[in-house]
Amino acid sequence: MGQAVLEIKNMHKAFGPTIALKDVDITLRRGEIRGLVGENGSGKSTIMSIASGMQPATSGEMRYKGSEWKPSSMIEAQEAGISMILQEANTIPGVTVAQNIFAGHEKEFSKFGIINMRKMYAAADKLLQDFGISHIRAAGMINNYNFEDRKLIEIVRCVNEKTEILVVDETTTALSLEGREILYKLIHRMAEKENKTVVFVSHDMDEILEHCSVLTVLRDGDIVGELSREEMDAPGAVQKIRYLMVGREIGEKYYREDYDSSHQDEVALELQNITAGPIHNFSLKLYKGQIIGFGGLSGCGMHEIGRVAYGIDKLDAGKVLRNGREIRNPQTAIESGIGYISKNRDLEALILEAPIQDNIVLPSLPALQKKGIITPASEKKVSDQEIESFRIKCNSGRQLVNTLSGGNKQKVSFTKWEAKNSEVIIMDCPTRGVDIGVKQSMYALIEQMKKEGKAILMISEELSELIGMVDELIIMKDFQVTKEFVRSKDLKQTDIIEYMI
Amino acid sequence: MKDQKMTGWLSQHRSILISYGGLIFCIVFFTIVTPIRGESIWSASKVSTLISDMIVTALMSVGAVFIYALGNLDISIGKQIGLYAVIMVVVGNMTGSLIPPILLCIVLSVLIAVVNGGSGPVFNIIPIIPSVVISQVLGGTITIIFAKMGTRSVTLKTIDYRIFKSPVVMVVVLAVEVAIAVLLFNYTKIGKYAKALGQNKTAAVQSGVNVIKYRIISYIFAGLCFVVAALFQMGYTGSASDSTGTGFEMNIMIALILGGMPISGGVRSKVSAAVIGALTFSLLDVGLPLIGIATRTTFIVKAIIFLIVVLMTSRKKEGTLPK
Amino acid sequence: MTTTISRRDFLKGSVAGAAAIALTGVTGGVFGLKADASESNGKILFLANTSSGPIYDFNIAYMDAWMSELGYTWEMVYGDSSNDPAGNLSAVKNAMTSDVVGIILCQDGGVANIMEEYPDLYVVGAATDMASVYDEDGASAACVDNDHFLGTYASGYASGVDTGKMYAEEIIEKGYKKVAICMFPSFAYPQYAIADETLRSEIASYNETVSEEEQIEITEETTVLMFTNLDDNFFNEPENQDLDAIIGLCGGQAFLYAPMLTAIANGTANPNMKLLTSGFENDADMMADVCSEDGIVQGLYVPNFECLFSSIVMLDNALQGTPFADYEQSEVLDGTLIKITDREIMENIINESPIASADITKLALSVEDGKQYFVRYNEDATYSALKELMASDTFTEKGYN
Repeated sequence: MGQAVLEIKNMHKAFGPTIALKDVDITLRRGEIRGLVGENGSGKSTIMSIASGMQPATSGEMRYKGSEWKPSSMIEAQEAGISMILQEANTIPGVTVAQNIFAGHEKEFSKFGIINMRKMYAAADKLLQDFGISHIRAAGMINNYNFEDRKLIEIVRCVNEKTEILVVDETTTALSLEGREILYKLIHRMAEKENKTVVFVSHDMDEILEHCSVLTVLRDGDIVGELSREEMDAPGAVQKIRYLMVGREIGEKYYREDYDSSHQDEVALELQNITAGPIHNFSLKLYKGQIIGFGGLSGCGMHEIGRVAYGIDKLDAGKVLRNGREIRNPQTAIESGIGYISKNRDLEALILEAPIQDNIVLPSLPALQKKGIITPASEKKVSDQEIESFRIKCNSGRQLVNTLSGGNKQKVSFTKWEAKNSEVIIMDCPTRGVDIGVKQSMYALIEQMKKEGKAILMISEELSELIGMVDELIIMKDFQVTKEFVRSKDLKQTDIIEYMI
Repeated sequence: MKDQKMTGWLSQHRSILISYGGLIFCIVFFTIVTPIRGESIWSASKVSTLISDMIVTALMSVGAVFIYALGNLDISIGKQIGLYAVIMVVVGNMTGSLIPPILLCIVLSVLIAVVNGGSGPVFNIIPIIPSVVISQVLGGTITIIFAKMGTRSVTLKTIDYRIFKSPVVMVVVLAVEVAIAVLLFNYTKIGKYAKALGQNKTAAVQSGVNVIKYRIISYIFAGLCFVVAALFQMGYTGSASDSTGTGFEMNIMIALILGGMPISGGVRSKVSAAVIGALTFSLLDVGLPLIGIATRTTFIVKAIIFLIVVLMTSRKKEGTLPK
Repeated sequence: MTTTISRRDFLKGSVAGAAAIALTGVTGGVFGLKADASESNGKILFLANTSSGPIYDFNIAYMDAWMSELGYTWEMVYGDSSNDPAGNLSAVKNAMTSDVVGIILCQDGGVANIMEEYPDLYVVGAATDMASVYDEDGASAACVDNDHFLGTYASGYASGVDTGKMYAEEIIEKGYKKVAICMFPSFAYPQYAIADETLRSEIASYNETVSEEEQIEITEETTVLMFTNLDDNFFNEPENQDLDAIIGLCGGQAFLYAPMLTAIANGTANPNMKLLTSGFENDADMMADVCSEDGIVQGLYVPNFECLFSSIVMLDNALQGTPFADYEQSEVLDGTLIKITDREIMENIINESPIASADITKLALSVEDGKQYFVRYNEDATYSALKELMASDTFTEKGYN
């Protein structure tokens, strides 16, 4: 067991009447990769945000490297060796990659107040190389890099030789597969070679189990369990962890258990020789009662397929057809019984500032109107029915969506199409940022939809859920289909990854 | 627990409280203070002054709610009123009836609405730009009309316009307009879509809202309200001048904000803001001189009150200005 | 989290609300005293066309003096900045209280509407020619026959013909050979267009009487100022090179002086270029310039400062129920001009007239001397005597020395 580097005792954090942490004790040691798991709101991010200076605790004490630790800002914490990579994008737009990496440290490159940019670029390029990032150029503008790359740049900025504790908070969901590999290599190097400490906060059970040396499980602001590496490797570990997280038996059933990939004969949605932007001559037939999955790296073109199928992105050639009708925009798509759940839930799928009810009925308004008038009673009826059947946790349909947890928000975006009774659902990353409990119910729902004869296009960055749920899996890379798999018991992630990278 | 619920309710309905609060405060304050100063604000003549002071702003603001809900600002409203008013007088004098000019104004208002509402998304420009252009065009047109006539104001000759000066007619017309607006805004796709578009255009589009169609419909309804407002503006003196309508778009903005309209539009928009705001503003207009505040000072008092309301209602998140 | 914020914000709200109450209360108290001060013969509204400047300040002092003498309260109302009928009517309506008995209007938009709304009020104009009343097709032509309308006293010459003739004489006398005219738009000031025309025809007929080298050139186009400064480009245009003078049929000190000063300093205009114009600005540099040896302004024509006098007399007679025996129908009285054409006159105006200081002890016609024109003080007072006074040299530059 390594030497203790950060000790937290009786840490308590309250936001008004809401208690986020209940007198938590935790000790971080050198050389460990500490996993922190728990459902949304369990307090797992809160602990580390306090330790890294983002917010103060309500009460409790911390000791870092033997002395009392009360950081007043993230900068102070970073200088002292505790760095946290945040969930949200945190780069400075409009400047170069190097300027982002060395923000606040420009002095090291300046003489008489003039910054030697060449020197800065060289240093930044070297740093990027050290991290194994070869595709990002230090002199490039940050805006030319996508979200995933910017996350990597952030990591490079956060981690330096002074770093003693690195906190990775849900970062991997924002990274591409290559990015994840880079991050994994980094944390293993830090923990195993440099004897430093990594705290890994994640929703993704697979990656937790693969990389952590010790795991702490939280529920409702309490630490409810700690698992050693051996315990994680023991059979039934996943069930045990889930049980700790949810606090009840969630059962064996998670993904679909059948391996029947049959479907009805009727075509529900057809993409005919689609050309749109970088996508060339793409065709697809989705049948009633079928789930087709799309997998690949984030920039592989699968998200665009979803947008094209729903009529958001304009086509250069080809047609999207449903029951013989051409889909030209979301409006015709909805009228033809197609629903779409955007990957970008908070910005595209939901109107956060509006009540739950307004969100649920928005696509159904044309159907609800009688002589042009939509009565509040009819809206409430539809909305309450969906809230009930999806068990959305809320006081009433008048509650604003932005007061809901991530999982419940996602349920609202599902209910929109359930209320509209859409027969084709295009879901882009349907379980992103959702708790296990909610995930489980969503998988059950998707399975139910298939049974009802609905056709589903499931685009996901999580291979395990694709393998677990879809009848047919299409893997894409560089806007091309590289491989198609049919549902099978023997399908493994490792078989698939080679077609993605 | 009860206390917690209460404060939660307060925070959620704060803008409503402030806007109603402002109105109620004005009513109570002037009801108590004006009789002490000599003349009650509720005397028959003052009430009719109050109604005629607020009618045009109220009629315009009710329509403008549909534009503000979209998160947009229409710079051209004042010039629209100016043009409609001059058309009503000039064409009215030519034809001897107000019907032809009103029909002409309705046609014009629809054309303007199509440009103001449609060109933003079609040409991918922020919607305030076409309204600035329209404002310039209308302003130029008005200048040319008056320069041609060689006068700064024109007056109705034979047409009896007294009906537009009746407070009863004003109240009835406003009530009808508000009723229609509430119906459209809260119980039909038009208002619901406008609010959704104003709050989150992408989400609205992905939920099947036809952006151009519903923007234009919103602007058309607003335009019709502006024609009605122009009728009463013109009917106030039976005349129109080259400065009729000048700055009205600002009066609307002030009224709507006083009435609790979120400045960036969206789901919390409401028709009542128009009436509450216009009434509050007119109460200050009429009430402040009655309590002996010199007209010179009333501007400052009104500005301070406006500032207080803005500071209290606009939170950082909603601080974006309409476009 | 939400609860704490809401509490604090709610508190913030109440504090601001309390501030608003306090504010209205305090100002109400302070300004209220004035309104309740004296038991009066009623209140007179004064609808001004300016809200700042020396003439505005003087008018307040003048009204204070006469109103307290006659036993009225009075209140300033700000007319619509564009003289819009609806704007003027609203201003009057909002200021209206039951004790208002009369209105003095400095602009004419909506007179008929105001009189229709308040038929019992006596209305009189001041410093305006009330074109919309006295023009046959004017919007307020109906007021001419209304016995509650008591006429008006114009700001300067009521007729543009007189103004044009005056400027023509000055040009000839001062020996300017190349002259340009700048003017406010004719739709706003129709009389200025007539003045422009008259000035041109007067100079044309003068040119016929003299030899070719003595002829005066007026540049072809009159420059219209839309209530903004003269454009700098004006002096770059070929026809405006080497001007001896500019005639400003407008508030020239405000809109022409500064651009001329700049052009002379930049060398783009004749360094000896002069300005003849109207209006009075209470600015030390500008006052020092007028008619000084190197001054740009060599002629400044300011309407009668004390033009409110006749309006106050007419209003008081009517309100006291003692009209002049020889008064029949309302009319526009021609206004006198204070012609500042040399430095001595300017010094007199600065030091001996009330305009620069708003000091009413410097009036050309003191309150005491003025009383004899009111029927309430002098039963034999006549309308013709008043008219004679208002057209006399009392209110010209000769009245102040």
